[in-house]
Order: sequence, then C-alpha cells, then structure tokens
Amino acid sequence: MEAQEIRNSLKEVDKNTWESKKVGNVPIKAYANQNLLRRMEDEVFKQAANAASLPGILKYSYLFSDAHIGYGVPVGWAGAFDLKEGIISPGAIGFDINCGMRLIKTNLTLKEVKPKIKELVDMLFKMVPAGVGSNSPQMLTDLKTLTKSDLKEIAEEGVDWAIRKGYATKKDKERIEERGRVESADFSKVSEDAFKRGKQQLGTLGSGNHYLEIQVINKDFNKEIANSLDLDVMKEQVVIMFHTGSRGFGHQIASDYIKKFLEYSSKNGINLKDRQLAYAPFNSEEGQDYFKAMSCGINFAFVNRQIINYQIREAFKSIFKRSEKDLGLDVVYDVSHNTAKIEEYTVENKKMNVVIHRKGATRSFGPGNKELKGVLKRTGQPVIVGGSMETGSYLCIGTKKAEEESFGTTLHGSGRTMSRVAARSAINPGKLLESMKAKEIYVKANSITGLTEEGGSAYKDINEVVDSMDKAGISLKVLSLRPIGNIKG
Amino acid sequence: MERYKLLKNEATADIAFIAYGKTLNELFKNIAIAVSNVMVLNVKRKGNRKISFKLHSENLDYLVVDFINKIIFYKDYKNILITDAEVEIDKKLNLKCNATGEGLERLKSNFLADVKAATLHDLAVKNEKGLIRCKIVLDV
Repeated sequence: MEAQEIRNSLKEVDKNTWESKKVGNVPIKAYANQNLLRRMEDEVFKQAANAASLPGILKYSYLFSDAHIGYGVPVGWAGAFDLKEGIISPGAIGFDINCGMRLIKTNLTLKEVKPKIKELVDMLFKMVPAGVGSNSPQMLTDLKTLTKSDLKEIAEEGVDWAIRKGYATKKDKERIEERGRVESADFSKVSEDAFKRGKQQLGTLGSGNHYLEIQVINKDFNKEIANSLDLDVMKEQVVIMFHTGSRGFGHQIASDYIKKFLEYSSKNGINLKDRQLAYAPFNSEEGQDYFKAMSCGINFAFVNRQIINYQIREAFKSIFKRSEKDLGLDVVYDVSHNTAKIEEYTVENKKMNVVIHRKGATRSFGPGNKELKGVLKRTGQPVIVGGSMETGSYLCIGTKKAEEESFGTTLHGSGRTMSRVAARSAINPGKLLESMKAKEIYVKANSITGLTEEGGSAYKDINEVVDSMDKAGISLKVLSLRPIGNIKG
Repeated sequence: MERYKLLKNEATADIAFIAYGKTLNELFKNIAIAVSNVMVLNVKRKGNRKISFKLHSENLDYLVVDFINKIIFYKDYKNILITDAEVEIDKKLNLKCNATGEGLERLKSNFLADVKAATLHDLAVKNEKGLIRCKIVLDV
C-alpha cells in the first residue's frame, strides 16, 4: 500500500487519535492533532506500515505526535511483539541505544542562579566533555583508562556500578527507569570494536541534538504532581535537564547487529521491506544475542548519564559554595527513549510479556504501576520531553490509559521539521545567538555552525506536540520549563 | 566533477549526501572526504596521522556502510578523523585503504556534528553515463 493511501485510510478516533486500515499484520495508530498529522512526511506512514508487517507485532504500529522519518521505522514510533512469534530489530530501537533524558531539581531560584549563569555554564562546559568523540582532558581521571573488565562491570551492573564507585547514591537509583540496570545484559555478546569505541566515552555528552541545559520552571499544569516531585513554579525553581545516550559503545552494538541480522535474513530467505529494518526472531540465538548486547548498551547509557549527573553536582557545589544536600540536587527522573524491553501488558484480556520496541518514544506508566515506587506510585512515572534550545521543554506524567492503549508509551521530544543541512543554510548563526541572548539564554558550544542545526525553527512546536499527547490522555502535562543556560557539543 | 553534494531536503534528523566518482576507488575516496566534512568543515588539514585498513563485504552497498563505519570507529577509538583516503577495491570486493587524518583535539572548534553510523536507508550505488554515484544517509 502506498504512503498516501495509508494516510488517507486514517480514521479519526478522537481529535488526537487516528487509526489506519490494517497494513500488514496490524493497523497504524497515530496520536497527533490534525495539523501535526498533516505535516508528517509520507515516508513516516510507509515506515510505520513496514513495521506493521513484521512478524508477531501486536495490536498496532504506533506513531506519536513528534514522529518524523527515521531509518527502518520513524523516530517517535513504538511496537510491541509477541515473545514467541515476534522479532527484535536494531532499526526499531535506533543506533543510540538508551538515548534518554534526565531531569535534576535544585533548591535554587532564578534570582540566585541568574547572576552566576555564565560562570556556571562555563564550569559545566569544562567538566562535562561534549562534542565529536568527546575524549578530552576534562574527563574524570578514573574513567580515562577503563579496561575491558571495567566496561564489563559497567555494562552488566549499570548504575549499581556507579553506586559502588561513589558516582551515584541509592536514592538516585530509585529515580531511574529500570532502577538503572537491566538484568538481561551479557557483555560476552558485545564486540571488541564496541569496547574500543566505548572505553573513552563514559561521562560524555556527544553532539547533534544532545545537550545539557539549566532551566527554570515556567508554568505549571498540575501543581499537585509538581509539588509531589518537589517542584514549584511559584519559587521560580531552577532545574537541570540533559539528553544523551550510550555513545560509540551503543552505536557500534547497533551497527554490528544490523550486519549480523542482514546475514541472518539472507541465510533464512527473509524478504526485507527495508534493509535497515533487518531483524531476527526474538527467541532465536541471534535475536537473544542482540537483546543481551543491546541491554549492555542500555546499562552503559544509564551510567553515562549518572557520571554527567556527578559532574553537575560537583560544578554546582563549586560555584555556589554550598553542600549537595543544601543545593537539593536530586534526580527527578531518568527516562530512556531508544530501547527494547520485556514488559507485561494485557492483550485481548490476557496478561502477557511482550518485547516493546521504543524508538524516539518514552515509557509512560500511570499511577499504581508495579514498577513504580515511593511517591511515583501515586503520581505515575515522570515523562521528560526535551525541546529545542530556544523553545523549552516539558515534564509530563504517565497514565493508565497509555498502559491500556499504547503499551505504556508516549512521545519523546518536539520532533524535527527541517534537515540539518537545510538548517545550516536557513538559520543564521549570528541571528540565532542574538535571539538566544534576547531570550536571556546563555549558550556555550564547541561550534557555532553546529549550533544552527539545533535552532528552534528546525523543530515542531513543542507546545502543540505535547498538548496533543495530553489531550489524547497518553501523557499529561505537569510543567513547562524554559532554558536559561545551554551546553551543546 | 564535484566530489559530493549534501542533500537539503532529505533525512530530517540527520545528514544525507550523494558522492561521485569516475571509478569505485575514487567514489570511496570522495565518500571519506564527505564524511569528514560533515563532521568538521573549513579547517586546514595537516594530514599528519596515517591509518591503513582492509575490509571485505558481501556486496557494494554493504562495503560502503562498512567503510564509513570504519572511519567512525577510528574517530572514537584513536581520536583521529580520517580526512582523505586512497582506496583500492578489487573485483571480489576486497578493499585496501591508506588514509590520512587529524587528531580530533585540534579540530574541536570546527566540529559540526558527530556521526554515529552509516545507514542503509535509501543507499544505492548507481553507474550513470560513466559516473558512479552513491546516496548515503548518516545517523548523527
């Protein structure tokens, strides 16, 4: 079926939910308002249809309001697969395994931070390596000489390793998806090349759309939940948000297994609709090997974000000359948006484990979910939605409806509308810096030209994208956050 | 003949280009230059770091992906950005590469984007009127 035909077959369920005809094994379910849906590229629907044809896919091939073209499947997509009949595919997870977001609160107000913002951002830029490769003199000494045995521990233990080494607290762990560790990790399934690419990149931000931001709470939409998470708009409270993943370690795991799965397809006569969507049955030896290696990528990314978290705490203590406790530098939450994990759902009135692939899509568990502990059991799971560096970001909360409808999944960001090459010529670096200055956002970047690729006009309107998911009831708005300082690789 | 052309209206989140060559060897040289320029532009290259490697792939498309992924590997592992490459490919798709590059630290202020991987998305090597062209999408 052609992309246009699939698009035309979408029927309105409500103003923010659409369903297509069956395309392959299941229909497409798209969460977006009419405007966002109209602006999605045709290829998004073609890719979602290719995913709908994969063996063992359950219920729907899901698109979220931030969806745009990806490789294999769109970014802003999810699909759940039966453990026995289904598959696993690196193209449906992404190269940057466990790319994700972390939000940290502070007890500081805008009034306290604003006079020191330049000093703070410059210090963070020194302490958190960013950019191509990212191996740099400012990296923590302990992490410069990681051996294979160190990397095995990191990849298999996740944040528990960081706790042992003094980079994390037990309290941090409680506020990380999967509590910072997936047990399915097996380092013996990771290649030598992945080790070599990853060993110098722990605690680094990377480049592209990865960033570290100092933000201030802009507006609240649910005061009760915000306050339960120790966040308060009235105080003009300052928070820290950052976006990064498993760096070269995860990228290499994805590349290695796409190659292996192409060989598997060729050997087993699988006719792929898109080579980037190469797959193996989840229960095959090849499928299990990838699941175990990819799980190492998930744990590496959790530790990567934890090391950056450690450096942020050090920078704040140094600039504000106050203790960590006094500064209140607690993790609000850490979410993954490029993963495949086994989760339990009710499908056709039957409880079953599925392998849920999320590519540019965030877990969105509602109140009472058995995975959530403490206050989160009451509020639901925080969903962190990163926007462009000009327009701000959101903190949302997961819902029961998401668990019932979309395998507990929602959007991950604002979604791009303009290619990086187009942004380089469409966005003037000088004007972008002027605009950021006018908005009182202090930016520190390795490259100003690289910065233009991330200008606000290269992205969809985050307010509309988040609002659409809120109205669909899949993730609800809690706070909007606006940047006051930004670090780009 | 231009070495490569960046594509404005493709790859919303990433970077796409078409590389050209009169021969396969020249096409791969130009792919190396394009990948380097996607990451770092407008910097005078010294080319004082040398890297040699060999590759073999099942077909030409996979050889393109494996070649770019090797460039990315050296960027992360040795902190060297390959900026030029002399490539020899035989009929059995065995590739020999003698490359020159730069240490990453010197290039830091000219970084544009970090390439994570080469993809097979829309990848096609075509021979048109004696000119070989290859469209490539990079994940950045």
